[in-house]
Parts: sequence; structure tokens; C-alpha cells
Amino acid sequence: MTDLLHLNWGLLAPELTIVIIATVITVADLVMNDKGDRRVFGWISVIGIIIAIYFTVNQLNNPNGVEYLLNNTYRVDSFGSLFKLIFLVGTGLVFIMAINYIDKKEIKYDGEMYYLLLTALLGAMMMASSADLITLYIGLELLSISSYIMAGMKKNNLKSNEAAYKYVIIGGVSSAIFLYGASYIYGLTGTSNIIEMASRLPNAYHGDYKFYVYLGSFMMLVGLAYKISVVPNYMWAPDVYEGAPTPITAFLSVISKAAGFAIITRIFVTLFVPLVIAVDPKTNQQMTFFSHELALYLAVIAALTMIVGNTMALRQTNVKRLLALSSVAQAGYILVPLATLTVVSVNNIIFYLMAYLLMNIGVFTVVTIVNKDAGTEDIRSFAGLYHRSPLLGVAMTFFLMSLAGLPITAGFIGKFNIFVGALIEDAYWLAGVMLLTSVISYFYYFNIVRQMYMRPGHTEAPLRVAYSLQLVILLTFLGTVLIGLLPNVALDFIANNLNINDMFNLGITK
Amino acid sequence: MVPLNAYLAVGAILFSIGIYGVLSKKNGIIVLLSVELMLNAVNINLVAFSKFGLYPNITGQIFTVFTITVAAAEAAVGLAILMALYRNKATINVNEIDIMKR
Amino acid sequence: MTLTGQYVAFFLFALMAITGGVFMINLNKVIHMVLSIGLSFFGVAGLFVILHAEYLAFVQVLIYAGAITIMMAMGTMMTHHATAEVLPRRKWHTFLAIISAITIGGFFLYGIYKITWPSEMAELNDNNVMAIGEKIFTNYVIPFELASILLLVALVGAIVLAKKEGDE
Repeated sequence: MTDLLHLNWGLLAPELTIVIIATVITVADLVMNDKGDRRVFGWISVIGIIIAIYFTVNQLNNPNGVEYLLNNTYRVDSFGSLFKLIFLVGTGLVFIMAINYIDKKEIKYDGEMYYLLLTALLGAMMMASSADLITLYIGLELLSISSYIMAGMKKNNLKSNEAAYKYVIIGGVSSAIFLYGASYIYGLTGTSNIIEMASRLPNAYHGDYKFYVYLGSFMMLVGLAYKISVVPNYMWAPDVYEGAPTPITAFLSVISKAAGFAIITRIFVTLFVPLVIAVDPKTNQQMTFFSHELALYLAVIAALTMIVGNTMALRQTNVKRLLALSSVAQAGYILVPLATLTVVSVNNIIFYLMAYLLMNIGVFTVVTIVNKDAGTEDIRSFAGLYHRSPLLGVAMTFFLMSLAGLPITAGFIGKFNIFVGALIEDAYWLAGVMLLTSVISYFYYFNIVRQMYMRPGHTEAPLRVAYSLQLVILLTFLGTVLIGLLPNVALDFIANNLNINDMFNLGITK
Repeated sequence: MVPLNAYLAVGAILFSIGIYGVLSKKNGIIVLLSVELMLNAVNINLVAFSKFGLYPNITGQIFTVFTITVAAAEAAVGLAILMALYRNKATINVNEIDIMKR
Repeated sequence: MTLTGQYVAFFLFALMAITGGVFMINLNKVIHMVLSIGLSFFGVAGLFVILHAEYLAFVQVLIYAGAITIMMAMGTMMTHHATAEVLPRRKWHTFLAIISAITIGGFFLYGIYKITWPSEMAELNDNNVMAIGEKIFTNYVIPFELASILLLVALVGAIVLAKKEGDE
């Protein structure tokens, strides 16, 4: 029996920091009187997140390679740590947005809002740093349940109620589908550890259980598709994004989606890639499971997602719905490297997610400011923005250019890498769809730009922006442009810190 | 000995009943219960596999403990959301929950 | 194949589980639907007993058949007091739902029917609860603690969302 006290619990430092801050906030929320200003909780959380970032960066350069606790129910590897950095930075920025957004009249229980954001972050972090299906599932549900509640936080707003209800139903069905698939994979392998599963799955595959391998993997991917809002499961996104409070929308579109990609990449690469390498003992031929069927399935949903997201976004007049469908389309782009797997695919995914984090949080910050000022979420609220606040207008233009994938922005480099990756793998049709849908996306992105520069606004009064929001916009703007101009800094950072073999490696424990 | 296939069949039937319920029922509470039915199908599968799978062991039952926990939490949150909705709209009929246009 | 007691028990419980589900679809009053699904949950608990998962059977009865069913019944009474489920007006929608459910179920059943499993089974009879407890509190202690946070979140969230405004 393992002696729990002698384990190296220091490995959990980033997660423990978040748990401690969340606990402190919950208790302080209870003690504080109802009139008290709870914005201080937001700042405490930001400090906690910065500490957690410090711990995570320290773990990045771990000389021991992969380390794990308790049979890989928790593990520290380069893949997970890079994803955790994305979650932490993203949530930190969302916090600063939320501090300025939360209005006591709309969201009565603002203390809980900060607490739930932290637990959602914790769930996302666990989704990135485990090789055990049970931990991954609990992390997924922790993120999901926190998100359901946050989406419904504007209790007196019917849209918010509906958003939460739709989200909880779609989320529940999806997690049931995921678990149903996982139960078959468990039946074939008898373990919840995905590295052990990967070593036993080839046996099951050519031991007459092909049907269940297909069924299980297919259903797991369909179930997880809702987290990243791709084709079988994207319909909830516009409604939920519209109804949820704007900072939560930003959280869902960036952190929740990145967490979805973390778990999908982890399961997909660890569990199914060994099936390619395995050789069928009877015929002595390499098995074609992964390289044909599953990759084709992913390529098809990636293409459908890009087409559906971009064309549906064309008709939207509500800016949050538009951005929801744009983020559906973005998820399609990020799926392309998974469908055309090469050695650098995971690097490309992480790079694009970093770029996406910066540009999307930037866009949502501007949307928060503009919508709050105009009191409407219509796209016309952007009219004349450039004349009211030139800097905000320019920043927004850059964010939209980055989302559209135009040069000198981070989005361009990310999209370009993905595009080249697809060409290298001879997936010309997929690359073609990507190019075509990107062109379609220019129409709706530039519709916003046109509103900002060409349309007269209802007022010419300069727009006042809180300092903290200015900071968020400055950071995301600098990030978007600098990564666009000097992509090698970020690419080298990922390449130096990511060891893809970590994902197949059982690792060591102290 | 009842074979494994019989249990899996029961699970599959419950799962499809759950899918039908989610797709067709109008009452929000029944939709939530249909989701629970789907999760029950998962539990039957996991427990059956923990006894009869290719590598039978106790892990399936442990997995089930966790899924039951999560299902209870999800049901509670779902019901709370329905309550909030009911306060604002005085209905939990899914057909009427569509103020956001498609 | 002889008709042993186990077969009889299996058929009874499976019948309970499935009829509970079918009744849920066909009954008219919401409260009856909730109770019929309770029957289904009991049936599943019975199946767990046959599978030597006594602990889970108890948990199933307590949480599903007990807590969730009762909670939903309360919810029904608080929201839609004594109202009947309106008959479906969208015929096509129901039709499509039936078709998709039958397709999915048929596909699963076909696969299950086709594939046979080895008949060996694990010796899980003795000290089932002890084995589960030991594993949860050693190997799975991290997801266990995480689940406790999840329950706390659900608790806080449910209170925040369902609380009546203007209570204080």
C-alpha cells in the first residue's frame, strides 16, 4: 500500500494554490457583510493565479522529465504544463475583465462568481495534467458544472437562465455519451490509466473487438466535441455565449475550449496513436485504424465546423452570437492539426491556442466596454468607435485581423503553420476548405471594422475605459502584434518546452 | 451465469430510451431525468465490465462511484437552473425556452 | 442453458429497469413519469446486486432512487403543479426522435449481439466494499478530493441559483 504522506505533494503546487485561494474567498465571502465590496476577491484571485503561474513555469524546466503521483492520476509533463499556462494567463485576464464588469444589480452573488471561476480553472488544469480517465472526467465535470452555474449567474435575466439550461442539458448528454464510449474502452482494457489502456488496446483491436474500439473512440470524441463546440455539438454555443455574462463568455470561448483541446489531444494522441505503430501479428502489416478512419472522421468534422461556423456567422447581428460562431470556426481550424498528425501538430495546436487566447480575450474586452456603454449587444453599438476612442478602435482592428488570419498578427502565423501542416500531410482538400472559409470570415470580421470607422455613432463623446481594462487590452494587443512580428520567440518557447514523448511515457514517482 | 451481452443490451436499451427522452420530451425535469437514465446505462456497462470484461477488476465499480457522484451534482444544478427559469418565466416547458433566435 | 434463480432475477430486474424507462416516455402526468423512472433506478440497483456490486447497489438506491427521484418530484411539485404533459404538437420532431433513438439503439444491439466475450469473470465477491474503499483512498485519492470540490461547487451553485430574491 502506498504511503500517502510520503508522496511528493509539491507537484500539485499550482492546483493547490488555486484551491487555497478559492477556499479563502469562500470563507471571506461568508464573513463579509452584504454591502461589502467584493472586487477585492478578484484581485486576490489574480495574485493567486500569478503565484500559480510561477509554480507552473518552474515545473516546465523539470530535469526529471515526467513526474506523477498515484499511478498517474496526476502527472506533471510538458504538455500539461504548457496548457496550464494558457489556462492561467487566460483566466487571469478574464478576472480583470470580470472585476470591472460585475454589476451588483445584475449579478447579486458576485463573491460566488470569483469562487466559481477559480474552481472552473481548477477543473481545466486537472484536465490537462492527468493520464487517468477518472481524474480527467472529474476535472471535465468540475469545469462544466462551474460553467453551467456561471452562465446562469444573471438570475433575473431570462436569456441567462435559458443559456444555463441549454448548457446543462447539452453538457449532461455529451458527458453521458463520452462515458458510454469510455465504458467500452474500459471493458476492453480493464484500466482507467490511459497509458496502460493504450498498450492493451491493440490486442483488443485485432482480437475481434474492432467494433467496440471504433464505437468507444467515436463516442468519446463526440462527447468531448461539445467542450470545443465542433460540429455534432456546436448548436449550444451561440445561445450560451449570448446569454452568459460577457467575461464568462470569454472564459467559455478561450479557457473552456483550450481545456477541451487539452483533453482531446491527450486522449487522442496517447490512446490512439499507438494503434498506428502497432503491427498486426497475424498479417504482419501495420494497422490502419488511426491513419484512415479516425483521422478522416476528424478531418470531416473540422471541415464541417469551419464551413458551418463561418457561414452562419455571416447572418448574425448580435456581436456575441457572431463571436460565438467565429469561435466555432476557430475550433475547426485547431482541429486540422489533429486530423493531419505530424510531429509538430501539438506545437501548432498550442501555438494557435496561445494566439487565440490573446486575440479573443482582447476582442471580448472591447466588446464588454462597448456593449456596456451602448446598453445593447447589437453590432451597431460599434458604430463610430474609432472616432470616440481611436486607440480602442485600432486595437480592435488588430484583434479582428488576427482572428481573420491576416499578416503581422499572431493569428496569421498560427493559421499559416496549421495550413502548411495540412499541405505536408497531403490533405489538400482540408487546406482548401480552410483557405476558402477564412476568406468567408473576412466579411463578418470586416463588418465590425466598417462599423467602427465608416458609420457615424449615436454619440461622439469619448469613451472612458477603466485602467485595468486598458491593461488587459494593452497586454493582449502587444501579445498579438509581437507574436505576429517575432513568431520565433513563441515557437521556440513551445519547441524547447514540449516533449511529445512525455505523453506516452509512464514517468517517475518519488 | 447471465452472459455479459445481456447486461450490455439492457444498457444499450436504457441509453436509447434516454436519448429519445432528451430529444422529444417537453418538460425540463423529464429531460434532466432522461440524462440520468443515460448515465445509468453507463453505470450498468461499467459494473458489468468490472466483472466480465477482458481484464475484469474493481476499477469499473470505482468509476461508477464517481459517475454517480457527478450525476447527482449535475441533477441538483440542473434543477436549480430550472427553478431560476421558472421564477422568471413561470414555465419549464422546453418548447417555450427559445427567446434567443436561431 | 438452464433456468437458474439468477436468470429469473436478471429478467425481473432488467424488466423493471426497461419498463420504468418506457413508462417514463408514455405516461401523461409528470409526477408519474418521475416515479416510473424511480422504478427503473431500482431495477438497475437489482442488476448491480446480481453483478456482485452490493455497495454500488446501495449507493444506487440511496442516490438515484432516493435523492434524485425525490428531488425531481419536489421540483415537479414546485414548478408545474398537477399539470399534464401536453401532447406533442410537433409530429415530425417526435418521429425523428423515435427514428434516431431506434437507429442508435439498434446499432448498439447489433454490435452487442455479434460479439461474444470470454466467459471468465473476476472474483469480486469477497470484501467488495473494502477493495473499493482501499482503492479510492489510495490510488484515486486525487479525483476523490476533486469530487469533493465539485460537490461543494454544486451545493453553492444550486443555492445561489435557486434562492428566492429578497429573502433577507
